[in-house]
Amino acid sequence: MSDLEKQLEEVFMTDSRSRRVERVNIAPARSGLVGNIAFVGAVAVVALAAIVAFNVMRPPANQVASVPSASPTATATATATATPTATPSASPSPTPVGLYVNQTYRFSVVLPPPYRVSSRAINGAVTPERGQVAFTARTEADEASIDTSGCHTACPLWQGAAYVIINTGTGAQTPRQYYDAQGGAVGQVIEDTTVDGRTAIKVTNGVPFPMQFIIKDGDRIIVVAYQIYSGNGMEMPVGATKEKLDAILASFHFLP
Amino acid sequence: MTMLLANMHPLEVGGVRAARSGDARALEELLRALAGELMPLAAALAAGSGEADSLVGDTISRVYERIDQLQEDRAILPWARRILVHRFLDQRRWSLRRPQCSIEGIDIPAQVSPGPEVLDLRQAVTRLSRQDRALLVLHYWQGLTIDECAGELGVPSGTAKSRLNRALTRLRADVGRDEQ
Repeated sequence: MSDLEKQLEEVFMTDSRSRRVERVNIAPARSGLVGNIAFVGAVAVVALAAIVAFNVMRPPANQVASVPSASPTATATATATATPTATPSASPSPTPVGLYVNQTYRFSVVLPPPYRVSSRAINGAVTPERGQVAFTARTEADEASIDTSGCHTACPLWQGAAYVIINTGTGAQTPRQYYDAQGGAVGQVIEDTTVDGRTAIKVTNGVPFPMQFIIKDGDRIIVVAYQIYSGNGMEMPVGATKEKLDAILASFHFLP
Repeated sequence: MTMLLANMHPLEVGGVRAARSGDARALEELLRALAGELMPLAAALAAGSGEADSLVGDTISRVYERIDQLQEDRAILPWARRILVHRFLDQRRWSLRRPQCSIEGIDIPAQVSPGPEVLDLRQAVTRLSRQDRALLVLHYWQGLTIDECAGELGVPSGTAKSRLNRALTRLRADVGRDEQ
């Protein structure tokens, strides 16, 4: 073993001793009845989500399916579609969810109400090499009422919107190289991660989004992001929250 | 059941079985014991970044939610360790969810301050990818073989071997050492 390897052991040994558990806060234990109801509810939601996913796989390819929650105890989040073993949640959530499946770009997300697909909140050029799908909490009428003429930066339409941007033909470009080409921001945090087993980076407080995942998928680089402008007095649309946007990002999955 | 548990370590088979059968106190003790066992690994993986508490909290939440799926009672610790490593690798998942269990940790000052060489190396380790860092921790600190590391990380042995070599090469370059 070389000196370097010995010192590595020392580093990890020191780090491993650097913290100790002081307290563990555990949510109230599940009662059998509640747990069972929650589990049945979650299974029902998974089944419904699977049925909807099957239906939306037929043309027309891209649409949102509204999935009524089968039980007030089931929180049908990304786990409903991502993990066959959906975990029941103790917190009641009567909120229906929308599973959006895009067969063209081969991905899915779960849209919490009132989020829907937008054709107006597109941010940046859409070309054969750069596809884009936007999700907004605004109604169609609300979007239509906003004057977008002459707006090229920080447009109100983009506030509180989530995006999936699909870049094709990226060759060997890595997520970091892709992001570096966008520039950078003071205070940004770039972390290596994986999304559905694919190499990715998570960029917090970067450009042009405050939160984005940049994922390498074969020849494609996918950006899953949302936009929240702060400090310019621009209000979030009704029904839009950071938590919902985080949930949309967390629900992103590639189709098999 | 509670009386029986009085002289039993929560991670022993009997304790795990009691927790899985619905004994709330056994479950709570099991989760606390697991948190204590997992914290050193989380702290080594986190390399001083401050995410160890969140990582353990998320892992414990996962165990709490899925303990019914544990196939062998005696395998609870390796199972939980594997969950933790995978949560570390797939940081997106746990950083965006609200765990049902949270951990409050405290800093333990090092008894002997590490020398500047070790501090440089530690800095260099934090610049590695999470995959490479996990591999180094599992191999050099947990003492797993390359094959075992590969199994834990879900990659072929050859990949683990080449990644390890690449990570060491990068560390040598970062800390300015030519040794082999």
